Amino acid sequence: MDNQQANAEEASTSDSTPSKKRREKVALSARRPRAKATLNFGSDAEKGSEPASQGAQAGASVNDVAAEMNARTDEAAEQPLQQTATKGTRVRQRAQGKRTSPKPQLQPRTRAATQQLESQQLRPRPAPAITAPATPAKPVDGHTYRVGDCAFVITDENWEDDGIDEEEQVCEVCLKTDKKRGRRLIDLLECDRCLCGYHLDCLDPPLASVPDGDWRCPRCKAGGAAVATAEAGVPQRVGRRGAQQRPRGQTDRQKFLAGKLELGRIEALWRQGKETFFRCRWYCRPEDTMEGRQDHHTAREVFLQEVTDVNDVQTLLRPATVCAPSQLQDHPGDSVFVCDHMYHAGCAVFKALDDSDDGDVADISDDDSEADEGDTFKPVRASRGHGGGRRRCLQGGEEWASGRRKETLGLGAAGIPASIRARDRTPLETARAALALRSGPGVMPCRETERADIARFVEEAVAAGEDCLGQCLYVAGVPGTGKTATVQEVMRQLRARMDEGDLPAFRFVEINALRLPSPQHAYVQLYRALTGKHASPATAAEQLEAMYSGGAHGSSAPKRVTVVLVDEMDLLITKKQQVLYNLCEWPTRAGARLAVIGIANTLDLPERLMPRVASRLGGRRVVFQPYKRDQLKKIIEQRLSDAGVASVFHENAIKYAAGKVAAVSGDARRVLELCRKAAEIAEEEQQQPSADVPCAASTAAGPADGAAAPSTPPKSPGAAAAAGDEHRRTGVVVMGHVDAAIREMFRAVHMQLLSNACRLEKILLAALVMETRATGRSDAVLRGVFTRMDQLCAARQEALPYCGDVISAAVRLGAKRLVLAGPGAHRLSMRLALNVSTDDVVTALKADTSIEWMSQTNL
Amino acid sequence: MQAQRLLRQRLLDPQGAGMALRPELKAARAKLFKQLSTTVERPGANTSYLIIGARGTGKSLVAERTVAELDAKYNTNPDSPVVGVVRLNGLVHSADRVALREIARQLCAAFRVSFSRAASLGNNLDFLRDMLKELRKGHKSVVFVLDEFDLFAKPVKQTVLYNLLDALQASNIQAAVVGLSARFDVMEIMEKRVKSRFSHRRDIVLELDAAGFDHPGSGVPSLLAAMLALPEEEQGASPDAPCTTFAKAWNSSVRAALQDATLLAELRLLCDKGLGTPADLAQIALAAVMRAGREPGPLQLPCLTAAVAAAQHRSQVDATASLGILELFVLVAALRLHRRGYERVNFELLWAEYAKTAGMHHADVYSKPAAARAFQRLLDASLLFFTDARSERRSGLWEFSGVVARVEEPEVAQALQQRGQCPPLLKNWLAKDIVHVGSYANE
Repeated sequence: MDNQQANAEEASTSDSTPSKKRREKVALSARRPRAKATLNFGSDAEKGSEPASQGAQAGASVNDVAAEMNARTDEAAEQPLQQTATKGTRVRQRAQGKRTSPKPQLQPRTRAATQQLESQQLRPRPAPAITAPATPAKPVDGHTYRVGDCAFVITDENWEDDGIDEEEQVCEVCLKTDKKRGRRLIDLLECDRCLCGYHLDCLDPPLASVPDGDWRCPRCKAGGAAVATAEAGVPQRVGRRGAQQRPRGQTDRQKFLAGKLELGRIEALWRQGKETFFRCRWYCRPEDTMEGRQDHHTAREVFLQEVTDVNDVQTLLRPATVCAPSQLQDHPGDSVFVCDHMYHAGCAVFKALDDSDDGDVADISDDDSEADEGDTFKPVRASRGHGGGRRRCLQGGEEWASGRRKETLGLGAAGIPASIRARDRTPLETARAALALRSGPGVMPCRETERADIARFVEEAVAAGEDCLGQCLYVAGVPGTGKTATVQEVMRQLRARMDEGDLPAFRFVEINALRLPSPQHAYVQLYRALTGKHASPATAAEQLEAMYSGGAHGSSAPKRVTVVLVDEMDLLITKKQQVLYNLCEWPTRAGARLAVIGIANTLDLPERLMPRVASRLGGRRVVFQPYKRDQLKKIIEQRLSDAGVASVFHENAIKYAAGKVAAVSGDARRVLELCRKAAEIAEEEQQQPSADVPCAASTAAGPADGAAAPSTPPKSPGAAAAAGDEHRRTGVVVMGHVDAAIREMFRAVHMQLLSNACRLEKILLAALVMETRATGRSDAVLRGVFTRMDQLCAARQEALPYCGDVISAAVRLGAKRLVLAGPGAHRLSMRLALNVSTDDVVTALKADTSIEWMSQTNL
Repeated sequence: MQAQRLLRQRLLDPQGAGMALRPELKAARAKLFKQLSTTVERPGANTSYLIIGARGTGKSLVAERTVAELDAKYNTNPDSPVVGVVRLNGLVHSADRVALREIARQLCAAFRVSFSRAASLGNNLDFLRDMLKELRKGHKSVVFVLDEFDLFAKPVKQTVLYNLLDALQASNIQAAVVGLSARFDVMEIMEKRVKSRFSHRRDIVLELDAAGFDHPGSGVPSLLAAMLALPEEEQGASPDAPCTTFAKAWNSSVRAALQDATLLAELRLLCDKGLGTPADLAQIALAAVMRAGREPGPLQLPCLTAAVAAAQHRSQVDATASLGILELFVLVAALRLHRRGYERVNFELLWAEYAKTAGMHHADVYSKPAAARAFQRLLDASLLFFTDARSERRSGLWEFSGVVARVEEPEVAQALQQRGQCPPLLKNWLAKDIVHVGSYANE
């Protein structure tokens, strides 16, 4: 039976998962140890192998029970797994509706806990309908399942479907479902831990509106019983009901949490003879993991496992939904679960699930589908040194290269740390996190024209297809203006459009010149992206040349338009500029289907190249100007409002920070770091409500004070401190914080170092200043400085310095780069030059207190 | 015996595990720890930090102590470390290839992945990025400690810095880069791309202030006392710690020795000259401990005095004082010529100068080949120096190649003082330009 199953799998085309999982499913399910298993998965394989009897039993029981129920409208039958993420808080939304209310009108952000119905439409088992070859859907008992859906799976032999469909959540306090005040319906709030419902009014103290974030009921806060397992929930209710002893069964969700049902994700569906099988990947409950259920696990949390099993579709009970934590409010109903980690039972490690993984896979699958078009390229995961050619040496050993890296305990987390889950962050913390420098997926503000230009260029290149000729775009701008981020954003959008079918297929290759060992390795990258094969730089260059000189209908010409992004292009310049020449010349060949976008910092890079390269590269330019003050302000404000903490920063503070950075560089990273540091200072202040306030409380700052002592003395409370007090309590970031941040981050430190130098070094600096002034040159020989030091010390009754000590002092000053000193081996013949401005040195020396006579010296 | 071992271990430990931190270092460490623990706990809170301070002030100590604290706090499960550390040094790992391979090796060692030495630079770069992504999924973080940070920021491509800081910018990576440097302008020498990606957070570790010499927490004598102190507590003492009575006796004698006025004056002089950095103090303490190990009993004052005296850095003087008479004559001849204005001299000139003393009726008259030997010996001792580096290879014309003296007159004068039997002619010859011939017959 196993062989047949295996054969059937290989024959199926509906498989969308990587091929390696197939071979492992049986082995894994056999040898996996279960710590707290309430179910025996090992028996599932046998269950899958006896579909007929099982299915008959299940079907029969289902049919029997279902015959007692009324038909209802189908509600949650088909829900695709992924929905677009919406921003907002994590309030769980439940549809507040009676049975007759129309479905789509879900009232936003309410937590009414009326159970939504899973209806069962009673029909005898229909013939399974295969709708499309890509995603076959199997309607079973009235629900249609597609690959990628999640569903409850019956694994118990003695399954009895209680058929609880209608479950009305009642408020635990007043034991009523509805409660009206006037004409408005009071919302039912669902506790995140025990999933009991409470009316907003029935709480003590009563809440005015649905709170953001997590909410726990008073019983859970007081350390109530465990999460919504059936044993905890039901008896209490039954007990309290007293006379109203309605036999209450358990919903699917409760059964799952109690361990009677399992939850799985459908990975593949296929027919085999008369039966239909599906392969499902199990989810496990927190109790089944090594660390057990922790406090920070919510009630609806499940973990995706690596274990898969093949079962008959008869074992599917009802559909369910598993989504990411941020999308919880989009899915109404009771059979909704949250999953953001993967659990590997073999090594007992957790790994966070990542959206970006899909992105990586998609790149490879570009090549996969290309193979179907009869292309000559062999799209292969480049990590396998396969067929011909020497084996590449990858880092990390075999297990890294093959992708089975999840199995090492060293890389996965033994348990999800509670600090990751800490959801109650202060606004300042949230602001700090929002301002972090990260290139996350987001829309860059203030770059609309540039984005439109780049998008137009790429669209023209892609749409031209065969006629794509000579398309080179040059993007220039100082660092921190968002060039790479904008280009990536454009490519993301266009790729989404390509997936929908708006654009013809194209390929995107990214090359960063600073990640290459040498400029010639750019050929290697390009070659690997086009063919999936690895070659040395010279070979890759030859092959690419052959590929692109074949003409429009050559055998080796690529069939798709390739858009190449060359980042940090100025580092690809070699002596003969061959690499750049090739990169700019290949797009001009017939049939090359290549478009190049180059990014660099200098506007006139094409002019500095050879004319033949410059003419090709310099055709189209997009210039990213440094950000202006308003743009920087807008960037910060958008980041803060996206995270929902727009009021944390005072408006003046943002304006001040933006103005300061715009005047210097117009670098977006700098202003984000500045605001982040200001938020940190504000947070620190907030946590220390004592008199030892650092001088961040002072608002307007003059120029940096000269001989500032390293430890700032506490300022006496004044008017500024009083205002600072208020801000400190409320946790708002004001201009004073921004000012302190600027001083800490951007102030030159040489004044501190100058005042901290030792006595001999200070005398040496004084003598150096005098010597340079006397000779009129910018540098001096140490011998001359030494004689001057002797004179100085003799005149001031200071001990004459020993020349060896003076040489060491000069070398030390050179190490600090306060002066530029020659090598110490030259001893008294070494040349010295001041590296800081003379005025600064003079100021520091005159303000010095340790050498009494220094202030009277004529420097 | 055990005291010796304990103190030596403390003073020689490269990670400074046993050293007490002075208050400024404690503050710096607290700040750094706060930054790094935010990075470890919250996803996406990457940070890059710079510690600037002169040589020997304790930057590496702060970094190592913070890393040890992070380790103690977060790595509770020995099989699955939450925080990994990668240590790089700009002097050792200056080449890009070497640095990236070292990063890969340390990452593999920290997180139990097998390391392959033959991976190329591109592979290691890809591996770095992949590894950071995987670590994020497992809620783990890495701290990169880069010593001699300014050597990574060399003028040409700063690949290591760029790649590290660029990797930090990717979404939700949990990593931190801590750089230690002595140059105060290290941020200006970073390339503009690297500088833009660097979050300009920094801390300065200042040297010991001369004004705070007697300060109980951070003054020089108290630091020395802290370095030489033995643990005194009765309970909780490890079995290899010396017994309490001995420890008490040791500590009290150290304290008494540090009250001595002359010793304090010497220390003050050292600090004024800039030789009183904490690293130098550690050297002094180590020398004192070594000397004290020669006789039983607690540390006495002479050991400390001798250690302080040895820290005076008079190596040129000592080297000169140990030369033979002919070498000294040749050296003094070179100095006279320099004084007269010859920037460079050669052997012929030196011989001519030395030959002028032949008429002064003294005993140290040697032949030219002997003088040539002496000249070679001075070259070997680096007291004379070829100005043109290629002259060393041209053996034929060495008599005429320019040399320059690397010692100064005061040093030689002191060396002559220090030397036992020094002919007075030599001293006079050094001191004066014109030497009268007749006066030596009587001395």
